Amino acid sequence: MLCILTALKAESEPLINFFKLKKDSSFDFPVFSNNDIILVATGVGGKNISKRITTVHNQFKRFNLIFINIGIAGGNSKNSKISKCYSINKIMDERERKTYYPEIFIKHPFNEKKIKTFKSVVKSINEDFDFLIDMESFDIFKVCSKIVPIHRIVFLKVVSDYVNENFQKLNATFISELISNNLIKFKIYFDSLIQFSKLRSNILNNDDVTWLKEINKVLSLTESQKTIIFNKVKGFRLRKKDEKLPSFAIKPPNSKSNQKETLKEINDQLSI
Amino acid sequence: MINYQSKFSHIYVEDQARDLALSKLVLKKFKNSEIIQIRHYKDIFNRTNQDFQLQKRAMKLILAKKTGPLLYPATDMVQDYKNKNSFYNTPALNCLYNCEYCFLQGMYPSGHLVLFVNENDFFIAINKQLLKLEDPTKPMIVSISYNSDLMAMENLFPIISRWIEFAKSKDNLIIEIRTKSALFNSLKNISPHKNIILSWTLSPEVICKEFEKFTPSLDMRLKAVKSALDAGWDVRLCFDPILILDDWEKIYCLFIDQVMNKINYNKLRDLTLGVFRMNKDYFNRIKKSGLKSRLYYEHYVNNSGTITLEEDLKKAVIKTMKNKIIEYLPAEKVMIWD
Ligand code: SF4
Repeated sequence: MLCILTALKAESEPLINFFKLKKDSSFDFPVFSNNDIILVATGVGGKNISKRITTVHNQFKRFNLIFINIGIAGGNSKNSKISKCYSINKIMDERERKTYYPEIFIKHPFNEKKIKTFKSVVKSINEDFDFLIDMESFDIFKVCSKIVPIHRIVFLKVVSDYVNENFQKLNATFISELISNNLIKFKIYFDSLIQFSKLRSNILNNDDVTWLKEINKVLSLTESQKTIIFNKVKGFRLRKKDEKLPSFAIKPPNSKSNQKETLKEINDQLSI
Repeated sequence: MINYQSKFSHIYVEDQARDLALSKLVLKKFKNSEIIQIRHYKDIFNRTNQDFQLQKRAMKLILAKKTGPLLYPATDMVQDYKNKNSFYNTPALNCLYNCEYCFLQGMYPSGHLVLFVNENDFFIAINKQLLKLEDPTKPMIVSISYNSDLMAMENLFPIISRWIEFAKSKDNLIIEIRTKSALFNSLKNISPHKNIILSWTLSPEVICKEFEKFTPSLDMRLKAVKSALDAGWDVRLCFDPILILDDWEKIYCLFIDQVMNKINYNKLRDLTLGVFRMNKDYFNRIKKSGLKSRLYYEHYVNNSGTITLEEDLKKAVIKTMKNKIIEYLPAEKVMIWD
């Protein structure tokens, strides 16, 4: 499942409409979703980011969330283009004390760039810079990298203005337009990411888990016995992909030695 | 279908490595890659929360400058050939192949490939060590592909050809290049030399297929071994790790016949044997990562921090293998890893 993070209402609106996301009123901040995508409004700057991201993550963790920060960014007219979306491969903080590197592992239809996150609005910059400028990426990476593997954090930034040239206040309609111009490309990338997030990473299937629960219940296994049998079942499943686990008519044991005998029998069967 | 990034779609280049010759050569070769400047390779390689196996699928390249140590004394896990002057070094970290039993998965936080491009510094470290060998009556032996498979990458990064030229110029240095590659052709213009051992790790085809992902088939490796022997190279064979599957005796005996029938075994320098063994922490880390490999769910013992087969089984395996091999080779040419 994808979790889109946006700072501005004008950024989120075209995404909500295009992906037909419905408002989820169970949160006390703006959240919209469908079966594959959740959109969370983080607000501008680092203030709400941590709380909102962790709240949503706690609720949806079982879906292997991939966080995608989509937003506008400032650029340099010499090396970026207004309305063009870039995938971010390097994130620096204002003083370049720390740098993050998103792991870009799936092909995407964008050019790539680095980004520098500033604490306040940048109206001009005294260098021939070759990066984008925003106010969130650094904090978003910092928070997300603590809760998901780094390949599940993606940054897509649309250039909204040239920092050195025509600094002007951007209006909501223009911002929404910038996002709208890139929706088809977002969809292409999202389809791959959604597929990836649905890959099953468990060794055991649902039947195996039920089988283990049953054995555990009847035999009242100790923690270490549970670990042994759990590993045995995993070994069995990796050796025999499509075979069912051996079936036993197990009775509750009448003594410790009886329990151990039954367990040994199960162990032997799983080792074949 | 999920479209993963192709190999080396991104190349991270350390500031201090950018201007070195090998970096320039690599960057020229991968013109379409995204180049990202970094301060230190560990900023990428040592990030927390990485997924080793996913990175193997969409592998990135990191060009870096290795600072000391540039030479390590051989540990228990490196064959020391009963020679006190045995060392290994790491011109690269990680490998293009993806063997399920590879300890690198447990050792490194990242599956990306690091190439240390300051080869001259490695050479200097060896030159210095040559002057202070513990046993000057014996040559210094350096395994240069302990943490990688350099020959597999030779067509992309010409590293071993440079190492061979360096080793040839020394009187008492032997370098061992261990590989599973079939790319012997990459050395076709280089003449063999007594200071270089080419070591091929061979496994029965069922094992290559199931456990040695992306490696060439046994047949292709054998063709490479044959070419090397015919060209006059000093060749070592490594049957290591021997994996205990159902019918392992039958599988391995047939395999030994198959190998020996395809090559002129009289020309072999020697042959090493070893069973599955791995540092306990690496083993547990790999298992915890969720790797879908049955190897990590077999029965092993913890032998002073090394996960391996029970002693009796290990002895039986080695005995069976050795008995079969000595049908072809003199016993003194067979070395066992403990
Ligand atoms: S060839 Fe060697 S280094 Fe490469 S994956 Fe296999 S075991 Fe590891």
